[in-house]
Amino acid sequence: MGAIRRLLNSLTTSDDGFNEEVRFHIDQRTERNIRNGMSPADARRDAIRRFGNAAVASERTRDANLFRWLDDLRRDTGYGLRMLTRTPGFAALSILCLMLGIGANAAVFSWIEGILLRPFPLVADENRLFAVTGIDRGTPGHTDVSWPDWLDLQRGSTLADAFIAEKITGTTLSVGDRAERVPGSMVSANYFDAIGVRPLLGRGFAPGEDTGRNAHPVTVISYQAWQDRFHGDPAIVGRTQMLNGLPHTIVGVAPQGFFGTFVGYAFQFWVPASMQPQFSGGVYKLDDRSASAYRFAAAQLELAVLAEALSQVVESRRVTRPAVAGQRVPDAFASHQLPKVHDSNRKPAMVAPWLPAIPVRL
Amino acid sequence: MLLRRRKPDALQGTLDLLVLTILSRGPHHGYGIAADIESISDDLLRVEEGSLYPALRRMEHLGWIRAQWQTTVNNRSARVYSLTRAGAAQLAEQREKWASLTRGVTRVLRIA
Repeated sequence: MGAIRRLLNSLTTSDDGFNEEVRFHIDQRTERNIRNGMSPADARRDAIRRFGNAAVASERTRDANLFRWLDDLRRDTGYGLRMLTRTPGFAALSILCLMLGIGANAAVFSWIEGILLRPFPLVADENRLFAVTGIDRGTPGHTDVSWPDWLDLQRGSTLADAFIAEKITGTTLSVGDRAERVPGSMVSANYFDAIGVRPLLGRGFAPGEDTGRNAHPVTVISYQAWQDRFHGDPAIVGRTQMLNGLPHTIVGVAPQGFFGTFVGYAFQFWVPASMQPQFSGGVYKLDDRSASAYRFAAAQLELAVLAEALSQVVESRRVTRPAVAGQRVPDAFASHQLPKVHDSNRKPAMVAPWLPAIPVRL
Repeated sequence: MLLRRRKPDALQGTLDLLVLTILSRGPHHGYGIAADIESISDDLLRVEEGSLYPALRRMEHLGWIRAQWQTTVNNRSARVYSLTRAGAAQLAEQREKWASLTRGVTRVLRIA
């Protein structure tokens, strides 16, 4: 209690009036000396002598303040600021340098933290995760691993805890009267179990939900999406949400702070890999044996011919060879019961045998 | 904390006691306190004026006394000190200490 009161006292009382107080004291003493019969000059000299060294008294009076350091700090800060205003160019330059330096450091550190130190918050044993990518013989660079390859890896490996498949996707959601592009991820059914992330509400994906063409329109949404779009509705599980024009049943809400397993992305929803045709039908390789594939190829040819014809009619207009986008995969394809991608590169990926968990990007 | 708590020596303690006693009779400015001490003690005690103000400031920070600028009868502004409730308690405590000190010293001196 005492310390607080003293602090308040030292803040509210200032020593500004000390000189005046001393002057008053000496004047009073001088007057009294004159009354006692001294000459004015002697009276004043005596008064000053009796008071002693005013500078020392002033110093000691200031020292009596138990929080003098506070006052000193204020003075030092004021002095520093005055010196800076005296050389505004130098001050501005120093402040700019410090700002940029601190800002750059903060940015680099948060980047390092996000990329190197803790890339996947909430994921169990994130340092044991590693990625498997495919390679095409004779072609530089990496490609995705096909679903059948992924199944083979899972069946064949005894050293890895689990293989998970993941592919980035996205959808457009309406936010009020605006549309917003949100990133999402297509994952294998074992995804949440394998990385040890337990949904906050509801469940992850059940075994088998990743097979069948568009067979399981279910989704797990992020905590952020749950809060922002559904206002944290506790009865969210079981409700439906349109994703790419198809109603999906929300089966779970991911825990707060889980953003997925792809560096640099904060996914808003997850769907099982079986929903791939719905989200990126364009990546399917067409099966030449299918009758509808012929129709597709014919349509492409027809468009190309038309474009060629148009470019000759209107010379100034550049018409490139069009592609048919969003073509549905032929029905015959569905008999595979697998979201089949890039059938051509069934090459084994490089697997480091001492790391037990493998996310495989589809 | 950077509280510089000094151990009050006998002399300083005495000055505090004198000042508090003077102020217990009513508010007064620094010169008045010094003059009062001198006149009441028939000039036996002469306050070291250079150390009066540090003492006043210290007691002010301790919350024993309160200061206020006021205009005196001859129309000058003076810093007038008055006793606070904590100061009154302090005065009682110091009086008791002083009394026991003098009693003790007197007893020791009696044997000579």
